[in-house]
Amino acid sequence: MLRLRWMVMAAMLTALTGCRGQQVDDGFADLSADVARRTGRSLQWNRDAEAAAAIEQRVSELLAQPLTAESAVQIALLNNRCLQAAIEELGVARADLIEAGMLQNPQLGVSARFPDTSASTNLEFTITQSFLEFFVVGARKQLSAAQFDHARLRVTKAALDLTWETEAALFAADASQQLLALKQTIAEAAALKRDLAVKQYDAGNISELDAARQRAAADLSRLDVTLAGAELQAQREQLNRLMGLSGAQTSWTLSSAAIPMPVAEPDTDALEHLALMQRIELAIARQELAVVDRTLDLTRKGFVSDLDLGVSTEREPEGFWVTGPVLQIELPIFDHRGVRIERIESQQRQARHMLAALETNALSEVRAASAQLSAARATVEYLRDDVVPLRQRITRLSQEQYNAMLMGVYELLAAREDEIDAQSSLINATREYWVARTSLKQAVGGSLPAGSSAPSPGAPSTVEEPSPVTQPESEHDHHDHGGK
Amino acid sequence: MLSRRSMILRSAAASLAAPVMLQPRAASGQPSPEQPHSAPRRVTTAYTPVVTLNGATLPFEMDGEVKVFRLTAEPVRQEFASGMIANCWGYNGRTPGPTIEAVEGDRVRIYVTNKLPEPTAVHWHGILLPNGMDGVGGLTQPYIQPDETFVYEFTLRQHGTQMYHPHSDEMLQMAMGMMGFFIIHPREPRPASERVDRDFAIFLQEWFVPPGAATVNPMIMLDFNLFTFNGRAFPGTAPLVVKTGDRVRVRLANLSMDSHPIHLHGYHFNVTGTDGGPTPNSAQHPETTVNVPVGATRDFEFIADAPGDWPLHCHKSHHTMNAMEHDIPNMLGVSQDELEKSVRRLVPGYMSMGEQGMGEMQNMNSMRRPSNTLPMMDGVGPFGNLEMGGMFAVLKVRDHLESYDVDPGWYQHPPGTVAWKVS
Repeated sequence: MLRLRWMVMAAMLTALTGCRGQQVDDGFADLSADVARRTGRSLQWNRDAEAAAAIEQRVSELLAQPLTAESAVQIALLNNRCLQAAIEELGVARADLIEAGMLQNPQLGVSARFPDTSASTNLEFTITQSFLEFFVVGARKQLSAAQFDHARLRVTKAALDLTWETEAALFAADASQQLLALKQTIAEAAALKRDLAVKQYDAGNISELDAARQRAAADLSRLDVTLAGAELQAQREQLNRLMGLSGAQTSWTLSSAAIPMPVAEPDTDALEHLALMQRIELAIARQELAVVDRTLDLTRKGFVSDLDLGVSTEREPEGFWVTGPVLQIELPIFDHRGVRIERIESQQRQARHMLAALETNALSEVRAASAQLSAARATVEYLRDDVVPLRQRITRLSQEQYNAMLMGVYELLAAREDEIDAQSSLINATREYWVARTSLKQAVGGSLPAGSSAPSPGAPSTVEEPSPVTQPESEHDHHDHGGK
Repeated sequence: MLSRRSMILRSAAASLAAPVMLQPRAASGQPSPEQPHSAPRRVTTAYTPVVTLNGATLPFEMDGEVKVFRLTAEPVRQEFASGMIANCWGYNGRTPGPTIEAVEGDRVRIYVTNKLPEPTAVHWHGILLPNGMDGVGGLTQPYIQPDETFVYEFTLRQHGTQMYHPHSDEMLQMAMGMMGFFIIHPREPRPASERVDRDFAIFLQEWFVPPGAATVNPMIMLDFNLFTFNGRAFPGTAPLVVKTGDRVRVRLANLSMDSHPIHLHGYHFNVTGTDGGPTPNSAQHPETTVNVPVGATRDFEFIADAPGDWPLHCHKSHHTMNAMEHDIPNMLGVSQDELEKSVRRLVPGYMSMGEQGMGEMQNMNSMRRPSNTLPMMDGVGPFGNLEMGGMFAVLKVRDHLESYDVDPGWYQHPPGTVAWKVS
C-alpha cells in the first residue's frame, strides 16, 4: 500500500516536471532590426566583457573622425548606459515570459502530531497542485508574450528618443560653434575700431570723448564672446552625456562639412500615413489594448478561479494509513468575476480612447512639424539667397567708397559687422531647419521617406568665408609714392 | 498825367533809340519786320574767334543782316572726364551751352526751344536790350512752356564778355548746368600791337553728384563735390595752347554758388574787362589771381613770353580735387600698420589710408571705386603724378607749334632749368 502511494505521487511529479521552461528568444534581434529600420543605425547589447570591448573599439573608431550627426547618433546608441539599462528590460521581460510558461510547483504539506495518550505519532502528508494551472498556463504565456513585446517596444522608443535628442544636440552644438566664431569676428572688428580710435587720439586727431565712445562699443561685443563660449561648453556637455563619453573621449571635434538641404520636403499625406504605421507610441498603445482585450477574453471565459487537486495520506496514531484525494474549490458566492469583467471592460474602453487620442495627436504632430519644417526652410532660403548676399554686396560697395576716400574705416567695419550679423541669422536658421527635420522624424517615428529627402543629414552648413571685395590687382605698397 | 506834347516827345525819342520795342509775337514764333536803327550796322566775322575750351561756338545763319541763332534748352549727359558722366541740364546737348559770338552793332535773333520738363526763359546777363527781351519769366515775358519756342531779338550796342542763363526756376536750372557765354567783339578791332592772338573762354561751375550716381543734386547749396571748367573736370580739361609771344586773353564766367580765385602760374596779368565792359587801362592793375564773384565775368590778358607748362587753376584748393567726402575720420599721423593686417582679415583687400596725407591716393586709383566716380586726384606728368582734379588746366606755351589744335606734349626744359635733387 505504501508503494502505491509513493507511486501515485511520483507519477504526478514526473508529469509535472515534464513541463519544463522552453527556450525563449531574448528579442534583441527584433529590437535591433526595428531601430535600424527607423534610424539606419545599429544597436549592441553590452552584457559581457566581449561585447563591452567591441563597443569600446567601435566608439574609438568613430571618435577618431570629426563627428557628424550619423556618427554621434551611432556612438550614443552604442555607448549610452541609460539605454543599456533600458535594454536590460528585455532580460527582465524574458525571465517573466519563461516563468509564465512554467507551472506552479505543487505544494507538499507534512505534519506530525503526538497524542498524549499513546507513544506513536500521527503523520500526515499532503500534495496538492492547482488544477486551473493546466488550463490557464497557455493563456498566461500569451499574455506574457504580449507584455514582452510591450517591453521591447518601450526599449525601441527609448532608443529612438535618444537618436532624435542626439541629433538635435549635435545641430545645436555645431551652430553654437559657428556662432562663437562669428561673435569672435565681430569682437575683433570692434576691437579694431577701438584701437584705431585710440591711435587717432594719440595722434591728437580726435577728442578723448570720441575715443571713449568707440571703446564703449567694443566692450559689449567681448561679453557676447564670453557668453557664447559658455553656451558652446554647455552644448558639448549635453552631447557628452548623450554619447556617454568622459575623460579623454570628450575632446572630439565637429565635422565642418556642409550638408546641402534636400531638394524638396516629403509630402505631408505620405508622412501621416507613415506615422500611423510606424510610430512607436501608437504601437505601444495598440499592444496595451491587445493585452487588455486578451485579459478580458480570458476573464470572460474563466469559469472557476481557483481549484486545487491533490492527494493526502495520513498515518493515524493507531498505526494505519489513511489515503485519499484532496479537492479544494472556491465557492462562487460573491460574483467577483462580474466585477472584474466590468473593471477590465472599463480599462479596455480606456485603452481604446487613449489609442484614438494618440493617433489624432500623432497626425496633428506630423502636420505641425511639417509646417514648421517648411517655414524653417523658407527662412533659410530667404536668408541665404537674399539677405546675406545683399549684405555682402553692401560690404563690397562700401569698400569701393572707402577706396575712393568717400567713406571712413569705421563705417566700412560697421558694414562688415552687419554682414556678419546676417550670417549669424543664417546659422541660427539653418540649425532651426535641421532640428525641425529631426522633430518631423520624431513625429513620423523614423527616418523620412527616401524619395524626397537627401542623404541623411550631417552638420549644418558652415560660415561663409569673407568674400573677396577687390578685383585681383597688383599689391600697392602704400608707402611707395609711385612715380614721384 | 501825361500831356500830349510829352507823349509826342517820348515817342520821337523812342524811335531814335537803337533797339526798338518789338511787339510780343514770340508766341507765334514769327520773326518781326525790320526796324530802323540810329547807328550804321555792319555784319562782320572779322574777329579772332573765341576758343571755348572743351566746348563749342553756336553757329548762326544770316537772315538778311540779322544773325540767327538757335538754342534748345534740354536735359544733357555731360562727360566731366573719362569715366564719369553726369545727368545735367544744358543747351544744344552740352553744358555750358554753346558760346554765342557776335559783334557790337549786330542785330541778333535767337530762337529758344524748350525741351525741359518745366518752363524756362533765357536772360541775357549784362546785355543792354529792351526790357521785354530781358528774359525774366513772369516779369518781362510769359514763360516758355515745354515744347514751345520763343524768339528774342535785339541789337547789340556794347562789347565784352557776357553770359546767358535761365531766369525761371533759376536756382535749380542753373544748378543743373544751364548757362553759356555770350561774347561780343568790339565794332572796331584793336590796333595790331594790341590784338589778341589767343582768346579763351572758361565757364566756372560747381556740382554735387553722389558718388556712384549720375544725376546732379540741385538742392546742395554749400557741399559741392565736383568742379569744372566748361563742364570738364581735370584730367578732362583740355590744355590752353599758345605760342611764345602771343597776347592771350582768358575770359572767366561764374554762375556757381562760390566765388573762384583763378590763379595762373608764371605770369602777371591785367584784368581787362568785366561783364560791365572793358576796364580802362588806368584802372588796370597786375594780378596773379583774379577773383571771379558769383554772377560776373572777368577777362584778363598777358603776353605769353615764358614758354613752359603753366597751371591755370582755382586757388580754393578743394576745388582742384574730384569727389571726396568731408566727414571721414582724420587719419593724418595715425600709425595704422599693425592694424592694417587685422582689418584685412575682416575685409580682404583693405589698405589703410590717410596716414601720410592724401597724395598716395592717386596710386590707389586702380582699386575698385564706386561706378561713375572720378578718382579724387589724377593726371600724370613728365615727372610723376599730378594729384589734381576739378578746376585745373595747363597753359602750354611753346616756341614752335605745329598747330593750335594739337596738344604739343610736355615742355622740354632747357638743361639746368629743372630743380634737382642734392640729397
